[in-house]
Formats: sequence, structure tokens, C-alpha cells
Amino acid sequence: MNLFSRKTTPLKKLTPENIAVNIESLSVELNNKVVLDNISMRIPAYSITSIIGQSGCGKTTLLNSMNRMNELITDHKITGHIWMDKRDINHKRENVARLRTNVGMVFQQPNPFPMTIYENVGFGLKLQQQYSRRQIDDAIEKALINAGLWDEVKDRLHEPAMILSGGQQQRLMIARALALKPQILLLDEPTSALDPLATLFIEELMQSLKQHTTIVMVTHNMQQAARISDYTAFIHKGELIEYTDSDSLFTQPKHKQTEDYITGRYG
Amino acid sequence: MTKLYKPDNSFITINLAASAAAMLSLALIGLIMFVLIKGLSYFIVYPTVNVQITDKHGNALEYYAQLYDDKQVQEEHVLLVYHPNIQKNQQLFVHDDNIIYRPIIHPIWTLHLNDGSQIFASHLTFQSSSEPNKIERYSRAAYSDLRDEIYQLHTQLRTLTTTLIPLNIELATFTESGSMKDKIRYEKTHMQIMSLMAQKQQLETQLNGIQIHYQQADGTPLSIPLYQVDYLIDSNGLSWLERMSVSALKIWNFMSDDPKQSNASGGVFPALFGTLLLVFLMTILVMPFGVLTALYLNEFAPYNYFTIILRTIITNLAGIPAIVYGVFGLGLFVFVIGTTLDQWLYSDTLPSPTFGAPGLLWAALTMALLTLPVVIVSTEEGLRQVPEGLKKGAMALGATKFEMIIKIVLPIASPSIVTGGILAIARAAGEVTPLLLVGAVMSAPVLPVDNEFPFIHLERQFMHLGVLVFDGVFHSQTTIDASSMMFATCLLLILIVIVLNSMASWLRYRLKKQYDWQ
Repeated sequence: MNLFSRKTTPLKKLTPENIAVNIESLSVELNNKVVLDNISMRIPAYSITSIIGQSGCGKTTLLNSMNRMNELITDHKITGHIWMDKRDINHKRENVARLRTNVGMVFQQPNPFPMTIYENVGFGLKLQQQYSRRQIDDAIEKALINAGLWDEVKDRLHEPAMILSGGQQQRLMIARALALKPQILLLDEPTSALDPLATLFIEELMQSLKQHTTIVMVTHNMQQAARISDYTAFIHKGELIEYTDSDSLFTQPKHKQTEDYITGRYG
Repeated sequence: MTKLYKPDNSFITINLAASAAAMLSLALIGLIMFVLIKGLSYFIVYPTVNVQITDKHGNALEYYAQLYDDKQVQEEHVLLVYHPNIQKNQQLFVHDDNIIYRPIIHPIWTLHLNDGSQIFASHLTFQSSSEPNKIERYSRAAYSDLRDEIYQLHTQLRTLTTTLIPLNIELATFTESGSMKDKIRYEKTHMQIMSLMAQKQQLETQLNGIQIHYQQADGTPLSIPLYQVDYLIDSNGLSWLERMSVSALKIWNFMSDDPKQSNASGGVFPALFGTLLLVFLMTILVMPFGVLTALYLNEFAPYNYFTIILRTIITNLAGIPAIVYGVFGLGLFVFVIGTTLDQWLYSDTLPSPTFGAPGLLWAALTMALLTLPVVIVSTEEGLRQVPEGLKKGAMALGATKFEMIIKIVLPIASPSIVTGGILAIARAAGEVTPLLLVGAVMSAPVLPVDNEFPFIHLERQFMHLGVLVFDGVFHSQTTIDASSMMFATCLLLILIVIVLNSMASWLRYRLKKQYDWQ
């Protein structure tokens, strides 16, 4: 992949239709500690956006804000708006379960349920109780094909998901999220537990998923962010320092902190 | 030069640990063997002997007796004899010098009566009711013919009794109202009842007419109605196979009969039934309650001083002596809740209590309370093992917290929940102390389950195997039979716990295999 041949629309020229998520002055306090402080950013649709930054800077919290997973922590205080499809998902009357089917999430560690491959991918669909068995079968097949796992597992769909390798499990997790046809896919360091070959596989997968899904990714690996993401946000101590297309951020960072971070002076 | 290895002095530690483990397994095997041998001795067919005993006044007494020990080795002999005048068995401990074994000329029969006692006799003859003058020598054919006759008479009697019951009820309603028309019908019913009663009396005389005559060792002829005899065996003349079948019959009677001779002989069916029913009810009560509490503590409750204290209390509840639970159950369930229930729902039967007395429901509730900490602690252990990632993963797929708990948390924690159930069942099956206070009795007239609505009578008192063992301890000084009935009950109790445990362990194994997330 050639880093400099990519054509991305600069953020400022985005039209409202091209924006998938619009975060407005989001602040998050967890366990009485300010984690995110007044973040505003617009995430373009059908692109890959990376969030980079030091450990503990609030990257994952920002990601979790987009499907309200922060609320699983008992002591939380969230202010600000996150607009998706002209809806404020932070509104207290938002149906969180439905939001989470619309915004898929994949975690750092593959976490397959102790069930068969089939049941794992069908888990979210079964919960909705509105699809026939045939529809579920089709959706599972499609999700596995999209996740590039179909050829490997089509003969053992009813075997436990635990028998898959780490990379396969992570793709299964992506398939599990894709089965619900989410508009946005949140990836929390999806390749940090994988070997280079599996990482490459996932990265290629993300490139192909970009066609019909908006992808937001947290990563520690700056090469990865530069390699595959269209836009990159740098967060430092809960503040959004710099957010622009990846090419500009990695070649001409405007802020000193960004430069220090990407050149490895800290972090 | 430094030593490559540190000198190894773990030798002593290993040996100590190993010998401790060996001692423990020896003690366990010893316990099980002891209960097994003592318990099974209740079902053995012992030999019968013809003896002459000199009592402490110098009188020579002749007995047919059952011999419990080996006469060759020990100086003290344990004999079981029958006293016809008190209609009971008695146990004799006789010294070697005071006993003379005489040759057995006529076969000595053991008559197992349906009140639980045993008659030892020779010269068996039968007398039929139809031909009172005809006396028949014992033969297998004659015996089974008379048995058939008795069976038919019993059947007729039973039909008579069932027809009598509604008539008697009808009669009772007539006496309350008293119009002229009713009087005629009253007379009619009365006549009907009288004739049926006469028939019944005739049948009973017929039944009593079938007699078995026998001789005691001193030659005294005696007789009893044959229907009182359950079965008779010639214990000395039995082949190996026949002995086994008699033992099997004894085991069957033990499992299916009521206790007799004030819990010293007979069977334990009501106690077995009561124990299983209690354990079943206790499990139904404790499992949802315990699992829900553990779920709340682990999934919903905030981590603060209140929950820390609550947890500590729950853990320590397991250490409270069982008798305290019994007193608590009596005080709260029986005296407070039971009495209030009686006032609200059963005020027409007061002052005789319905739920205001010890009963099955209160016993099950007390046992549930007793085993609750075990279930909670064990379930919490399982809930803690559910990886946070799986919970988050389920939530991220649009599951509500309830769905996440049902579909992910509970299945993964299920082996631990079942373990809690196993521990609770094992404890409830063996615990006696609280039951003595809240519902278990030495002898219950009826089972807590019958064919009358509402079929399970939770207010009734019940029998329990552990309580039966407890009762048996007080008989062990008087008869050796009672002690072996006690040991047989112990054996059954151990078997029940083992069977229940292995069922639950199998379930746990299956669940663990299915929901292994590692």
C-alpha cells in the first residue's frame, strides 16, 4: 500500500451527509476522574478513522462513548452530544440495546462465547427475536463471508468457537458484529493480540469493510494507523490535540505534542 | 564453588503429608466399611438354634432362638427369642456356662409377623376356616392355598370397607336434618350398613379362622391367625440362593414398609419418602433465592461497606450451629407466620393448628435457610469466574443486562451453581437437629403426600431418615436388631447422599463440558 497515493477529502470540506458521527463537546468522568474533556470531532462516513495516544489518555473511553459502553461502569458522568443519523445517542431516552446493534464493537482480546461458531455469529440476531431461522442462516453466512472466515469454517459451523486460532477468533468477532449490519464498527486495538500475518489479514479485511461501514479504530501501532486509516485523531490526557487526515498528521503534524508522540519521544 | 542444588529437605514434609492423606483415606474407608457391614447385617438370614438356658434363679428354660454370633468363639452368646405372652422378641445375653445347645430334630421355622416380630417354632400345622376340624401338616402347596384364600378375603374386606365409607357419610348427613322422608331413607341406609357390617364381621371371623399352629421348644402348642404372618422360612434349611432371595425380600421390605416395634424393626419407607421430599422442597426453595442473591451481590450491588458487610454475614451464616436455625424456624415460621396464617386462612379449625404447628413446609424453609449461605457463596464463586470480556461482548451486541445474565453469565456459572446445590442437598439430607424442632417426628401416622386435594400436605409432620437414626440410638441398648436397623438406615442415608451427589456431579460435568470458555 502506498501511503501517499491515498485520496482523502480534508475534514473541513466534508458535507453533513458525509459525516457518520458528530461528537459535540463530549466530556466523560469515570470514577470521579475526568477522562475526556470537551471533545468535538466529526467522523467521516465510509472511512477508517484511527484514534492514537498514550495508554490511559482516553482513547478507549472515546470509542466506548459511541456505543455507550461507558455506562457499564457504575460511576460515570457523561455530558455533551454525539449525533448519529440526526439522533443524539447520548439522549437519556435513546434505546441503548438498539444503538449497540447499529454500532458494532470488537475488543482487543477475542471474546467468543462458549458456544458454537454458528451460535456466536447468530447471537445478536437471535436476541432481536424478529428473524426467521432462514434469515439468520443467511445473515450468518453473509457475515462470515464479509469477515473472510467463511471458507475456513463453513464445514464446522456447529463446533465450539474455542477451536479457532487467535486470528480466526478475532475475525469471528468481526463477523459477529457484522451480522447485525452495523453502520459503524468500533475496533478497540483489534490486532494487538495477534501475530503479524493475522494482523495483515485483519487490516485487509478492514479495507474491504470500508465500502459499506464506517470504521473507528483505537490503535497503539502508529505504522498501522498510518498504513490503513484515512483520518487520525491524536488524544493526549483526555484532550483532542490534533485530528486530520492521516497523511497530514503523520507527515506534517501541527502540534508539538503530536510530533513528539509520533516520533516516539514519549509514549 | 557454589552448589548447583540446595540440599533437599522436603523428604520429611512429603512423608508427613502423605501419611496424613493415608490416615484420612483409611478413616474414610473404615467408616464406610463399618456402616456397610453393620447396615447389611440387618438383612442377613441368621441361623436358628434349639437351646437350654439356665437363668439366674437356676431354672432351666428351653428356647428356639436366633443366634447372632459365632458360638464357637465367644463366651457370651447373643440370642433372639420370642415371648408369646408379651408378643415381643427379647434379646438374651447368655454366658457359655449357662447354655446347652441341643440337637435340632424338627426344623425350626422363623415366622415373620407383620407387626415386625419373629416367632421361632416347630411342628407347623394349618387349620382352614372352612373345615375347622381338619388339621393339615405344613407343605408348600397347602401354605400357598391358604395364602390365596387370605388374599381373597382381604380383597373382599377392602371392597366392603370402600362401600361402607360413603354410606357412613350419608348417614351422618341424615342425622343432622330430620324430616319424615329422610327418616325412611335414614332407616334404609342404616339397615344397609348393618348388613354390610355383619358381612364384614363374618369375613373377619373367617380370616381369623385360618390359623397356624406351632410348638415352642418346650413343647407348648400355640397358634396365631395366619394373616398376621408375612412370610415364614426355615433358616437352617435354606440353600445359598434361597438365603439371597430372603435377603433381597428383607431389603425390599426395608425400603417399602413402615417402621414397626417403635422403630426397632420393619422398614423405613415413610422416612425415606420424607427425606427425599424435604430435600426436593428445600432445593426448590433455596436455589432461586440463593442464585438471585448471588446475582444481585455480584452483578448489581455497588461495591460499598453495605455489600461488604452483607457478604461477611452471609459467609458467616454457614458457621451458625444448626440448632439455632431450628429454634429460629420454630420461633419465626411456626409461631409467628404459621399462627398468623391460621388466623387468616384456617380460622374455622382453630384452636387446632394447621400451619401453626411444626410441619413439612417450615422444615423445608428452615433447611433452605440453613443451606442458603452454601448456595450463595458457591454461586458467587462461579459468577466471578465469568470473564468481563464476555459480558461486555454480549452487551455490545445489543443484549440488555437481563439477556446478558440469562444467556452468558448463568450458563457459564452453572457448574458452580450446581456445586452449590450438591452441597446444599448433602447437608439437608443429613441434618437432624433443626428438623426435630420444626416438623420431623419419630412416627408419623400419614405420609405428607396422598390422593386428597391438594395432594402435597405441607402442614403435615413427616419422618426423616436422620431422625430415625437418632431415634434408633436410644433402642440400641435393648435389642441388637434395633441397632442394625439404625445402621441399615445410616447406610441408606449415605447411599442417598452418594446417589444425589453423583447425579449432581454428572450434571456439573456435562455443564462444564458444554460451557467451557477457556
